[in-house]
Amino acid sequence: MTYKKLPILLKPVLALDVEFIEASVLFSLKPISPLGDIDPDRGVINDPESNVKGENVARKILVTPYFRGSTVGPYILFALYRKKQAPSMIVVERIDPMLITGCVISKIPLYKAKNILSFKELSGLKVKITRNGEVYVRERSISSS
Amino acid sequence: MYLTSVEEKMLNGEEGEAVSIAMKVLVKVGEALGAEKLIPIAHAHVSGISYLNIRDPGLEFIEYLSRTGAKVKVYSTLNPSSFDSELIELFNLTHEEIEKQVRIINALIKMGFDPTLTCTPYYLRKPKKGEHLAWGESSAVAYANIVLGARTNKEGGPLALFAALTGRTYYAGLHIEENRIPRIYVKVKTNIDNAVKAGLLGYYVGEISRGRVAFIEAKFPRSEMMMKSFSAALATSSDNPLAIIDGISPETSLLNKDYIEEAISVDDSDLREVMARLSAIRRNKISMFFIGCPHLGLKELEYVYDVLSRQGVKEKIILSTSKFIYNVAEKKGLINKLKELGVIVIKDTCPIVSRLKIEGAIKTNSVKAAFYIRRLHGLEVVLDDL
Repeated sequence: MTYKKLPILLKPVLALDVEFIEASVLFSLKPISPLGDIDPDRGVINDPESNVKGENVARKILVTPYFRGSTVGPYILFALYRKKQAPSMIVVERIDPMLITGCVISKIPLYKAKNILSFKELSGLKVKITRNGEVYVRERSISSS
Repeated sequence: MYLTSVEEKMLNGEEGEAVSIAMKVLVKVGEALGAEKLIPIAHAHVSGISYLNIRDPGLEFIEYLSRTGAKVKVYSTLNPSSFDSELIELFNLTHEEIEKQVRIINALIKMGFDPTLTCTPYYLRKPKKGEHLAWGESSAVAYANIVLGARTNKEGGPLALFAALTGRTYYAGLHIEENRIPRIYVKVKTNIDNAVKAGLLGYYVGEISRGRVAFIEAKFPRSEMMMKSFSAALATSSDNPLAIIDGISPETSLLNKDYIEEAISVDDSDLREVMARLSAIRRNKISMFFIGCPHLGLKELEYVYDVLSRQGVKEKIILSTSKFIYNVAEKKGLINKLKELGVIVIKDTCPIVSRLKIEGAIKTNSVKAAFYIRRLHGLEVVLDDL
């Protein structure tokens, strides 16, 4: 399997504890409120206005501009983690105390991107992200996309 | 971030999994906010106690922490819950909701929290000027900063819980003196002479200050009810829970004209405009008058009794306070006197975080309550003083 390195460098906020992960990208253009937008039992996005409504966040690289909403948000991420429905990684443009809290207690690696729009065309594709924030995509994924 | 050797040990899990998670959250949040170190706190106060707010995910997380055997490291208190166990008939809750609320409280008490459930932790332990706290109830945070000159940020979600388990918080925001210096000067050209007006002023200042600390020149009496009303309303409309009131706040010496970016004046018409937005037009019949947001202190209970015994009680009145103040008032015979007037006193809960059986509209003297009851419960709310 060959990989192409993309011109994206993510900044680790809560770095991976392994060398890299490989997972599908779930790109939500609309900021996510864990309380209300994600089903805490099944991990499904149920925001009717979301471009990824009905998609599951479980084991995905969840990319969105930022998280919003209630201070219950961290508990929702924890519920996903306990039910093994948590994303493998979260990538955002803006971090906030509630998101950091949620990711720490749910053991979700958190990375910052300068501009998440560079992930838009990667939505649904498998990408590899290294601990220091380098992003790779499978060559075959690009040609078949 | 610089950590002491004790803090390093907590982070590395030498004091158990819960303390390690708590430390990691504090360090990461602190780093994100530019903090160079952690600081010891004297008192943690945790919000998000009501099962109606945090539901199963919150219950599960709190029980998980409790099961690890984690204990609080400093004096730690809790916000109100969703019902008063001695007046359960007033609340519209299922058996399951009550059972889960009890589980949340029991898990927290097992961790060493004071069992009183109140938004007025300053009556349980009065913070000193300059003391560092990690509090998570916005009205209490504002009161501690504004009226007592203590230092606390508004710690949302489980952050105050993590501060309780480590005895630390991150050194950022309102813990740093420079961030407490007023940047906007507000001259109030109307007398602040009741709790509603104090609340409207707090709400207005919170809106116009846009995150900056305001210095307030006003005829503002040292009335407990008015200071609490102002603080709670300011924290409702602003994410920066500090203002400095001339003649009230202990930190008036922080005023330095070189730092003032804007000066504005407030008159009656500004407060009437806020009133028009927050106080609903009466489509429904008012079903009760609610007083006690924030929870009433002893002097306020005495004041309310004094007014009601002179005016007479013409409508259903519900007061809310903490179990701590209730017990003191009961020993003084005050609770019985209020009951004789037909007044209901609920404790350790309030209409915002609970689900009271209410039909129609609510009247209250609290701007904060007016804001949240309408949004959270869809009820009409009318602002009025005693």
